[in-house]
Formats: sequence, structure tokens, C-alpha cells
Amino acid sequence: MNRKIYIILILALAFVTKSCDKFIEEELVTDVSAASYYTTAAGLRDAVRATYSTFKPFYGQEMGAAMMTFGTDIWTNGADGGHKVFNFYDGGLNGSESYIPASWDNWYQGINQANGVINRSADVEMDDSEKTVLIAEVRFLRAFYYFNVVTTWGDAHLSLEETVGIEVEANRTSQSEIYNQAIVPDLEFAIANLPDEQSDYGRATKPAAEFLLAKALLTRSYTAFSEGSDASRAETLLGNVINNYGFSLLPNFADLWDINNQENSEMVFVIPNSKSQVDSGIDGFGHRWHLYFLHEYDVRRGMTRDIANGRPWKRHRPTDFMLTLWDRDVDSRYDDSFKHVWFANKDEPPTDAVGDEPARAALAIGDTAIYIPGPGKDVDWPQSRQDGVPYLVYSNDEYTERLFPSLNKWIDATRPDRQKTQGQRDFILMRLGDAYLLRAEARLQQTNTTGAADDINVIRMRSAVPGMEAASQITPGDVTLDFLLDERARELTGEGHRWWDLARTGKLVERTAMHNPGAAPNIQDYHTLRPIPQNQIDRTLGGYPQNPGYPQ
Amino acid sequence: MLFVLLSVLGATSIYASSASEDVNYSNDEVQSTVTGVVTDENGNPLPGASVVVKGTTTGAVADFDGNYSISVASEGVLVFSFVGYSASEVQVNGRTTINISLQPDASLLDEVVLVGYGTQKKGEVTGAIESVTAEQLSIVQVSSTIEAIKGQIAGVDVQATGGRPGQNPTVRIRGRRSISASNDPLYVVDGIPLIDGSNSMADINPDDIASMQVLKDAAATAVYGSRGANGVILVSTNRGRVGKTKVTYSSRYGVTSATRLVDMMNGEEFADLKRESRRIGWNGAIPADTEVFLDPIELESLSAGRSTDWQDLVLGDGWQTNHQIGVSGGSENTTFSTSIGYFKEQGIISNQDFERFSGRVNVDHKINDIFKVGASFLIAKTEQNWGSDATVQEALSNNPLGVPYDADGNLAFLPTNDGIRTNPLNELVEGAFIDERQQTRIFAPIYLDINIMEGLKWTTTFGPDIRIGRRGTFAGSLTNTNRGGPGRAGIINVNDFGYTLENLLTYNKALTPKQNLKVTLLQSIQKSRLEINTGNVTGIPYESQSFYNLGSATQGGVLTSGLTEWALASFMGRVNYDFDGKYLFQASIRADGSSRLAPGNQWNYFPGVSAGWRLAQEEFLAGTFVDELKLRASYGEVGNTSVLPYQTAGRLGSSVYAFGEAPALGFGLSEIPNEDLTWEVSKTLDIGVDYGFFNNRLVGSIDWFRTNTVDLLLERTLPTTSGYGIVLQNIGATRTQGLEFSVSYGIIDNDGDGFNWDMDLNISGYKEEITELALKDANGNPIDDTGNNWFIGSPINVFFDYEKQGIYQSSEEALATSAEQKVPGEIKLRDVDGDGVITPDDRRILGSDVPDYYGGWNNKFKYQGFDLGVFFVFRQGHMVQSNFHANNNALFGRYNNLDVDYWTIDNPTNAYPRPNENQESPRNGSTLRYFDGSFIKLRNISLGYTLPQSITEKLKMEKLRLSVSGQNLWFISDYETFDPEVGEDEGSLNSSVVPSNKMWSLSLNATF
Repeated sequence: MNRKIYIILILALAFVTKSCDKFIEEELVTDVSAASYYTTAAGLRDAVRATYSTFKPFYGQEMGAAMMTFGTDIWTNGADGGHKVFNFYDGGLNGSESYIPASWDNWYQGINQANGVINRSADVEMDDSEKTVLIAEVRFLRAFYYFNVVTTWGDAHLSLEETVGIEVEANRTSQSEIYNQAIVPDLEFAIANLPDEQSDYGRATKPAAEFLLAKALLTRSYTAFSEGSDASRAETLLGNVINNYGFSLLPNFADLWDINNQENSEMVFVIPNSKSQVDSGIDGFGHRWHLYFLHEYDVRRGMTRDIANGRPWKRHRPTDFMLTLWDRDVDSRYDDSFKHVWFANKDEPPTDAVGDEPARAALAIGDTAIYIPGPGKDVDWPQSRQDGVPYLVYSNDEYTERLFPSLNKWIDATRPDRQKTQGQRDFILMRLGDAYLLRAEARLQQTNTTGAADDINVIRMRSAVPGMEAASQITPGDVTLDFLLDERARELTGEGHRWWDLARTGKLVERTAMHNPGAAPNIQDYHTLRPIPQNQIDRTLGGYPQNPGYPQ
Repeated sequence: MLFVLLSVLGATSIYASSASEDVNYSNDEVQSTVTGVVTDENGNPLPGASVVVKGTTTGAVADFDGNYSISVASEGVLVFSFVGYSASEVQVNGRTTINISLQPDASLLDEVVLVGYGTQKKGEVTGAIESVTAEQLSIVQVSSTIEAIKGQIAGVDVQATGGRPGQNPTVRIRGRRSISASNDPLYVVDGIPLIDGSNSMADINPDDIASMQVLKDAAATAVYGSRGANGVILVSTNRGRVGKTKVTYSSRYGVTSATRLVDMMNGEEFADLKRESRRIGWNGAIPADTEVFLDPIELESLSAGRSTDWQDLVLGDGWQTNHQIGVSGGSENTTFSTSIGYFKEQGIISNQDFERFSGRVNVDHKINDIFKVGASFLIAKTEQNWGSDATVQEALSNNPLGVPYDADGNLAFLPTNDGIRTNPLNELVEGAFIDERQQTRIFAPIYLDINIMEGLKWTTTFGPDIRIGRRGTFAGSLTNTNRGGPGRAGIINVNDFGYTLENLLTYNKALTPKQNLKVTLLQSIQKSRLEINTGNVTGIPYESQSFYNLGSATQGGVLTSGLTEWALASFMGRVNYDFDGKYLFQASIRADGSSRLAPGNQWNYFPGVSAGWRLAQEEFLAGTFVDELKLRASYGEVGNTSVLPYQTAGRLGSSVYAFGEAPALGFGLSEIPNEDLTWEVSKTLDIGVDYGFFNNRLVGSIDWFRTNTVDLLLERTLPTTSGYGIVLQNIGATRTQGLEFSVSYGIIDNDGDGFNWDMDLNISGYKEEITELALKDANGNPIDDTGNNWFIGSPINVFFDYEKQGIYQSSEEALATSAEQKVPGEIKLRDVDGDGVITPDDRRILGSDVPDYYGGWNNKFKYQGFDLGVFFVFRQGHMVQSNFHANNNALFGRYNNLDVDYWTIDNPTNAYPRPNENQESPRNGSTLRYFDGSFIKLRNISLGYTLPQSITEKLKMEKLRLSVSGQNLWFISDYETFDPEVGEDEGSLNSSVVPSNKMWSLSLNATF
């Protein structure tokens, strides 16, 4: 008996005894590490894809909407949501406002990723021409992210090397140096090495790099450190974009917002969203801007929330000023950008008169339930006429933070359900229409109002109401910086350019104070730069300077 | 030390062979039968007392009346023993009748306690070890063993979060050492260190536990090396004893309800808040009601005086029941203990419950004098219905002017026209929301003992631990999750397999009659393998399927899977030496190698030494009131690698992008590879006294300790300009110093059925401070790390923020503007540096979550068959940062709010700021969320009655006790929520916390 047990024990011990070091060896199975994966061609390609993904937490999300739309001359706050401090410019707009560190973190994470790709690519064995294009894409992206950093915060940290180990120091490099060391050389490299077109839709291309460099140079042309050639180079680069690659304006402005024709001839560079990835939840950063510009239709008579009308988060509401910009008899862009009619999607019994509310007839599904006549048309809708129809009519004097003309550009009726916040639309970063307006601005910078008027007229012609083509055109005498900004509002409203447009042209404080009553009492000159995140200041060894004007 | 061990082993092998010859010899003796009665000191029979012929395995057990009968050589010696009584040896001397009365164990201090890889008499223990008896565990009636020890042991801080059935509390022994690494103690069940922390204890039925020991100081835990860093809790389950088969049955039933509700606003109060939030500016006019209340339902409710109490609608009564049958016994060679248990708790929210079936078989079998085998087999199946987090959240946040039912009496999905706030009752509709968490656990340590020779024993233990978990979730269309969108479902499968294999060699030797030596050597390996896979889908076509047909969903889902493995290899040696039972000494060293660290840093050594002097054994204290007085001192080092596996590798994070419609997934930099990651080491010095006075009527212990932790594993935030926001690093050092005091006092001590009053009190406190950080000034002195809220000389977790001074009053308009760009009615911050403006320099340390002291106070009264227990727990002097208030005190007039005293132009309070619809939270609202978290809680009060023996005998029972008890009936605290106990992670106390409950219960315990 005992012998048997001993034998079994010895056998068992022989089986289980292994080398200790082998036993505690760690093997990474589920994940991969940069040290092993980024040395391969596949790893480098994945690293490049990861560099693109930095766009997504900002553009198409509430962060981007709040930071680029609030606090401008054309948009003010609706009823709901936080982050209204970006509209009010009150003391709450400081380095602790959550979008300040969130956006800063995002761009610097992207920059470090780009630095990593560029630094590590030297050791990767792959086809040299493919590698060069990949590096050019990544340098384009790095320039993009640095451009966003300087246009948001001004002087900031500059690093062109991947962070190795733990880095608790940060530098404050002047904007001009960031242009000279990063943005401009990166884009020049990208222009030299990127192809005109890429088989993958959404990858950086040569025209995209030219567009971005033009915008960067144009931005620099307004600054104290501008170089004499900035505006003319910008004009040339935009000319290349307009002329060299076969881009063309869509015939109708409204066609731009056709969700079934997103990959069209006007798109220069977009953030593509894959419907299948967004709907399945793999991509949590689908395009959400369909939420933010809608008024509270869903609790009104005859209406309930549905997919086609959207999920109204009522974040952004047009300022009265913006609504005066379009001459709707000549220009179709208001009607192509805003929604006027909501059709009943539930039956409604007739109602009796209560207080100011008149009695209204019953509504059946499909009947008009809400009508917003919009700018210039209110005269047709005196109260007596409003009271006489079975549906609700909201005229200009009745707009509130909950009820207002709703931007329809991003509406996404293809979402799988009415609650889904992530949509499938591509986020447009550069389109040809913008290229014309930027070239007009570059020409205006060189006091070439004739050239500027030519570019503006191309845009205006496209959206002229049939028969009003001639009336839509302007003369060189009309072109001023303010006119140009008005034109950009007419064309690009709600597309995420406004705050940067105003900051670039030095018009942020003047125009916002004049036209945005929420911002007017507080906005000051220092608001053309955002505050440095408080956690950057707290975490950096030796501290980090705050931008002027904010609590130091 | 190894040399000593080897020479001892070599020198003693001679003795072994002669010992086995003795056994053979006695078997050849002439036998006679001896009978008699075993009684206690009062002459009452002791059924189940055991009688063994000394030096043999021959034994017998006393029957119900204490009678025994045994065969023994006429010159043999009988050993009588019974639990709780001193064993007695009697020379037979040819007698055939021997009646014996056993004396109760003179001193509790002689009880044998587990000390990690062995046992020791309590009197000889030199480390800080505290015991919990089965009786103590039964004081409070809970599902979890861990919950049961709350407040019972000095230095052990158990905190629960809310009242969700089956929720695991957090356990901290002597405070927290590390902020990033785990602070969970190690649980060792029947000798096997469990793979997981507190979660893995949830499957163990408290009724199966015979005793628990808590090892607190590093000298005691050093034998567990890296796994002992946060203290060790040793658990032994019931094992059988030779003797009559014993059957126990216990049962209880209790009803539960919320201990406390929070004071939210009613309809009228909320209407006032909403009106104020719409005021034009801070001093303008309030618009007409028709402009404030845009929802017709609000106006209707206002005119009708209607208000909905949502808490009342969702909270109901729950219940708890527990049944346990145990059978134990055994013959000479084989003993067993088996039990079946069933526990179920129905929460106070209708779709929350917890259920556990558990079965246990413990068997020990002596093959012969050399070999012994045994197994402890546990199988448990638990099911927790988590319920919807939205239930309480919606009950708190919904507008009291809203209505739960429409005109036809149907459940309204939206009580108002606010699309965000859904009716909490929707979550409770049968089948609407399911979050079912099942777990099957098989834990089956087996062992083989080999008595190689007298005093030398080899033990091999293999402990597999298998956990199979499945979480199924389903949210129907009409739930807060989906708000009318299509249903969602998902499944998470967890497959967790771990094992421990240990070889243990122990050697006991009396070197001289006065000197004892004990040597323990261990080799151990431990491995864990965890697989998780998940699937989530949206668009469930028919809701009745719940989560049982994911493939039918209209929208494909997200699939994930992952594998996590870790391994630990260890060697340990320990020597115990005592002289005359007075001077005690122990030294140990353990080497651990962990897979979680990079090669080169994997191995470390953890020494521990301790010594004790039992003054009470000295001549000069003999015959005094001092029964026990022992001075202890110990020093030990333990390590912590409770970092997650793979953290040294610098893993890439997956990224999502698309090129056109095609996926463009990638992998991006997301972690700084940190190959330097190494062991966090805690070095603890402990000085203690164990005392027992007045015939041990007054017993207890006092401990002082100081722990210096170096190479602290800290998750450090970085300036994000580096591209990384966080890194896990060995940086800095902390010092924790504390004092623990416990006393048990028999205040009134009458023999027999007289009136008795026993009291137990324990109080502990500790101070925690950071002594070193990564950042250094030019002279190399550590400097504060403001970005991480770490400050030299302060605890690790402090609240660093502005301090609210009051509210800007109407007369302070100019100051409000100049100091903070605010207006009257907003929060006024303290201008610490007095420069007239509020800047980040005005932030300061407001407090920390470290309590000044905490503990428990238990009183037991006995008179005749009655017993009464009153048990309080307390925790004082810590600060709470309340997420509950962040959610429920936002003061913006859209969601319901705590009923607070807020500022208006007509109510110049300094308590809370003016409601304002334009902000989702008041500016500097975080300053409204710091509270003194101190509390005293009546944990338990119970009244029991044990039937007199005259009656139980007629019922053929050994013992029958009935009791009624009330739990968590009362607490006092300034922190106004459902329960001031918030758990360690104050972040988990959010608005969806389930209110804690109180319970009244009836229970019955019977032994046959």
C-alpha cells in the first residue's frame, strides 16, 4: 500500500515539476505590443489607421459642436445640455471645463501616435513607395492636429519625437515655431509625396494636404508672425485644389446633404463613417451632429419622436442675426439647410381654446403639424392667420431655446432606431465650396477684391434661386471681410468652422459681442484663445503657463 | 537558516523508527474493556466526548448520556477530550470503570489557531492574529461571510455599498496601502489561497465556517509573501469528528425594507425650484407659470395639488431566508462533515434578488499511521438578479409633478414630456429588464499527509478552483436603456480556472524538555487562467426571447474575447522556537516569482521575524490576577504585485476608423511600456500586548504598528502633451501608523443560569501619509504632485478643491464679479491667498477618506435560556465626496432635486446656490459634495431563547434555540443619503445606488 502511494507520488511530482522561470513566463495573447507589432508592415499600416482615429472623438461629437459652434455670431445656446460656458464666456470657461482637457488630450495623443509611426517606420521592412505614402499621410495628420492646437490655444507644446518612458515636462513653443517646425514642413512633405487620389476613400491625398496648408498659411497671414507670401501661397494652393483634381461643385446645394450621395465630387477630405460599424456599435463615434441643432418638435401637438425627424437635443439655436443673412428670394441655401414643416406622425383630436391658444381642428397622420415660416416670411403669418390653422406656427418673435428653426444638414433618417445617437454621415472637413471661399479670403488678404468676388460668385451662382442667377451675383465693391464671413455663414453654417473662422480673421470678439446676446456681456479679447487645461498645469513638472486672461 | 533546518532533520531520524516500534508493541498487549461516564465540571454528561487509548488510533465516543466503552490494555492510558475542555489523561491501572469530569479549557488563549501553513496554540502566537468564531459569525445574518465580520475585529474595516442583494463589501485590513494595486486581503480557505479577492468568498456559506483567523502584521503574513500584502484571512470549514453522527438544522426568515429614504422635493417644492431656475438673471422677474411649465401635466398637477413620490412607488418590502442542514461524524479512520445550504434574498426593489445553493463535503481518511488523505469539496451555484440601475436613478430624478399612470390606468412610459426621464416603474415590469448573473463554483482542495517519522510530516495539497460565470442582459424597448428604441441583449461568459499546488514539510521537535523547535518548508505554485467572451446585439425581434436568441437580432453586435493568465511560484521556510513556553521566537522567509512583472524583476524575498514573551508564565506573576500577559514584537516585509497582468508590455489599444464603408481598424499607442515595474514592498513593525486578567474575565489585545511602503505602485497621471495620460509606476512611499485596541469583558459573570453581561469592544485608527513621490526639487526633496492630488504628509486619497465659503449675497454683486465672474446666488469660494480673485492657487486639501477611528461594540446579555445581543459599528472622522449629491443636487430645475435650502433673492441663505436652468450643475458645484462621513450604526439587536434541556431531551434534540433579531435598524450621521456607508470607492456611490435595508428576522437553530 505505502509503496504504491510513494510510486504515484514520485510520478506525479515528476510531471508537475517544471522550471520555475518557465512557469512564470508571461505571454501576451489577447493583445499586441508596439515593440513587437510596429516592427512589421501590417503593424505599421495599423499604426497609421490608428493615427486617423484621433479625428473621431472631436469631430462629429458634442465636443466639436460645442467648441466650434457656441459663442459665435451665428449660433447661441438652446435649452439643453452642459458646456454652455462656451457660449457665455463666463468664469466657467476655464481650464477645468471638461472639453478643454478632453480636446487637448485628444490632439496630443494623435500627435504622439503620428510621431511614433514616423520614428518607428525606419525599422520596418516594406515597399519603400508604400512606406513613403504612409509617412506622408501621418505627417499630414500631425500637421492637422498641430494646426488645431495652435488655433485653439496659441503657443503650446511641440514635440516631433515619440514619447519614450515617462515624460512630466512640457515646453511652450511659440505658434510661429510650431508652424515652422511642424505644420508647414509636414504639409510640404505630404504634398510632395501623397498621391492625387487614394483607393481607400478618406485617406489623405495631395489636394487635401494643399487645402490644409493653404488654410494654415491663410491663418498665419493674419498674425504678427506672418510671412509675406502666406496669402499668395494659400491662393495658389487652393487654386490647385480647385483646378487640378477634377473636383466639381454639386449642381444643387441641397444635394450636399443627400445621405445617399456622400462620396461626391465636391468632397476633398472627410472623416468617413461606416454605417455597419456605427450601427453594430463597433464604432462609438458615429456622427452625432444630427442631434444638436433640432428644436423640441417631439412634444408638440400631433408629433412624437421618430427616426426621420430626429432626436432633438436642442443644443444650438440660430442667432437672430444669422436668420437675417439669407435673401430667400435669391438664395436657396436657407431653405436647403433648414427644415420648415413637420408632418403629424400621430393622430390628434381637436382641441378647445385655452387662454391664448385658439381652438384647433383634429390632425391626422401626414397633416402639417408644425410650420416655421422662417426669415423673411413671418409677414405672411400674422397671429390671426396662425390662429386659423389646425397646426402650430412659430414665427420669429416666438422662437425660444426650445423652439427655433432647425438645421437639417446632418439629419440621419437611416439610423436603426429613433434613440440611436451615432449616425452614419461622413464628417466633412474639406469641400470644394469651402475652397472657393478660402481662396476668396486669400485674395481679399491681398486686396484682390475682384478675384475674391469671382470666387464668391461661383458659390452664389450654384445656390441661386432659378431665375435669380444674375441677382445672386456680387461686385468687387461688395467684398469686405465681414461680407466674406457672412457668406461663409450662408454656405457653411453648422459645418463646424465658425469659431475658428472668426478667431482666424480677428472678428470673434467684435461680431460675437454684436450678434450673440448670450456671449455679449462677457466676451473679451483674451477669449480668442482657449484656456490651457488645468490638469496640464497641475501635472507638468514646474507648472505650465495659463493663457492670458484666464484665472492664473 | 537552511543549514539549521538540514542538520535538525538529519539528527532526528533515529527517533522515528523507535516510535513506530512502540505502536506495534502495544497491539500485542492483553486487552480489557473499560466503561464510564464523561461529564462536564457540573456533572452534566458530555455527549460526543472522545476517548482514545494513548499512543494508538483506538478510540470511542461518549453517547447521548456521556457513556463510553473502550478496549484498552490494563496498563494503558486513556485520553479524554471534548471541544472547549482540557483533555485529561488517566492511567487505567487495571480498572474497568473510569468516570471522569472534564474541566473547561482554562484559558481561551490555549485554543489552537491557524497561522498560515500550520497551526499554533494561541498563547504561543507572536504575530498580530485575531480569531473569529462561528458564534461571532452568526451574530449578524447576512449572505456573505465577509459582511458578517464587520465591526468584530480591530483593524478590519468592512464597508458595504448600498443594499443590492448579493453585493460584496470591500475589506481593508489596517487601511489601504496602495492606490492602484489591489487592497483586497488574501483569503485562504482550507489551506488554499484563493485566486480572487472578496468576490471568491461570496460562494462560501457562512454557516459552513468553523473559524476564521485574520493575520494582520507583516511577520504573520510574510509566509504568504506577495499575496499577503493586504493581510490574510484564513478560513477553515467544518470538519467531522469521531463520534456520534450529529445533525444540525438552522433556518431563518426575515423581512426587509429601506433603512431610510432621502428627502427629495415634492411637487410644490419642485415647482418653486423650477420657477426660480427660470428667473431672468439673479434678480429679475420669474416668468409666468405658463412659460415655466411647458408640459400640460405639470400645470395640471400644480392646480390639482398632485405630487408623485417615486421612491415610494419603486421601493417595497423584501425578504431573506436561509436554510442549512449539516451532518457530521465519523469512525476512527474516517471523519466527514457535509452540508447543504440554501439562501435567498429578495431585494426591496422587485427585480433584484440573490440566491445561492451550496453543498459541501469534507472527508478525512486515515489510510494507516503514515498516510492520511482528505478533501474539502465545495460546489455552489449563485444567481444574482442585478436589476436596472435606472430604477433608483429615475425614482430620484423624475419630476414629482409627473404621473406614473395615464388616464386609463396604464403605465406611462414618460411621466412628463421630458424624453430623458422615463418612468422607473417600467424597469420593474416583468421581463422588461434582465441582468442575470449566474456563477457555478467548484472548489475542491485535496491533500495527502505523510507522517514520515515522528514529528516530520509531508503534506501535498492540490486546490483547483473553477468558476464559470454567465451574465445575461436584456433591456426591452420600454426601458430607460432604450427609451422606445429596439431591445438589446447580451451575454458575458467567464471561465476562470485556477489551481494551487503546495508541498509542505513540517518538523516538530522537542530539543530539550523546555525547548521546542518547529520547522516548516514550503514549495508552491499557483496559476490562474481567465477567459472572457462577450456578445451584444441590438434589435431583438420578439422580446420574450430575452437574451436567449442573440442571432435573431436585426443589428449585428460587438463580439469580444480575452485571455488573462498569471502565475506565481514560491518557496518559503519558517522556524519556530520556544523556550519553556515563555520566550517565543519565529523567523520566516519567502521567495516569490510573479509572471506579472518583467524578467529581471520577477523574484523577490520577503522576510519576517517575531518574538514574544509570556510574562504571565513568569514566577513573579504567578498567583496574581494576571492570567495572560504577552508582549509581542514583529517585523516583516511583504510585497504586492496585484497589478493586472501584461502591464509591463506596453499594449496597443485598438482603434476604429473607416475608409469609405470599409472598416479601417488599427492599433494605436495607449500604454507606456514599463519594464521597470517591480514589487511594492510594505515593511511593518508591530508591537503588541495580549492580556487576560481576573480569570480571563477581561481579555484583549493592544497593537501598535507602523508600515512603511516603498516602491508604491501608483497610477500616476501625466501631462497629456506626452500623448499619455496615465502610467503605472513604482513611485514614492507611504507610512501608515496605527493603534488597535480590543477588549472582551465579562461585566457580570454568574455561573449557570444567572444573569451574564459580556461586552466586546474594538477600536482602531490609523494615520496614512505620503512620505516620498517621484517629483523632487533641486535639492532632491520630494515635492507635492498637485496634478495627481498627492501631497507629502497627507493620505494618498485627499480631496483637493476649492472650499465653499457661502453664497454671494445681493449686496456682494461687485465682489462676485471681480473675484470669480459670478453673480449673487452663486457659490462663493474661500479666497485662501487673499488676493481678491479666485484662482487655482486657492484650492486646498479639504479632507481625506481615512477615518480617525472605527470599530464595533457588542453586548451580550444572558439570563437562564434567554440571550440578548446589541451590536454597534462605528466609523468616525472621514470625509466623503458624494456622487450621489452630484446627481441629485444639480439645482437646474429640470430633474427633481434633494430638498435643500437654496438661495433666492428673498432667501439669503449661505447653504446652496440659486437654481439656474442654464447649467447642468452650479459652478464649483463640486464644493457642495464634501461631507463628514462619520456614523454610528446599530448593526444588530437580537433576542434568543434556548429551550431547557428537559424539553429538548423529550424532543430527542441536543439543542434548540429560537431568536428574533433586527439589523441595521438605526444610524446617526450628518451625511444624508440612504446610508452613510459608501464603500471604499466613493465613486460607486452614484444616484443608482440601491438603498440599504433593515431587516427583522426570526431564526431557529437545532442540533440533533
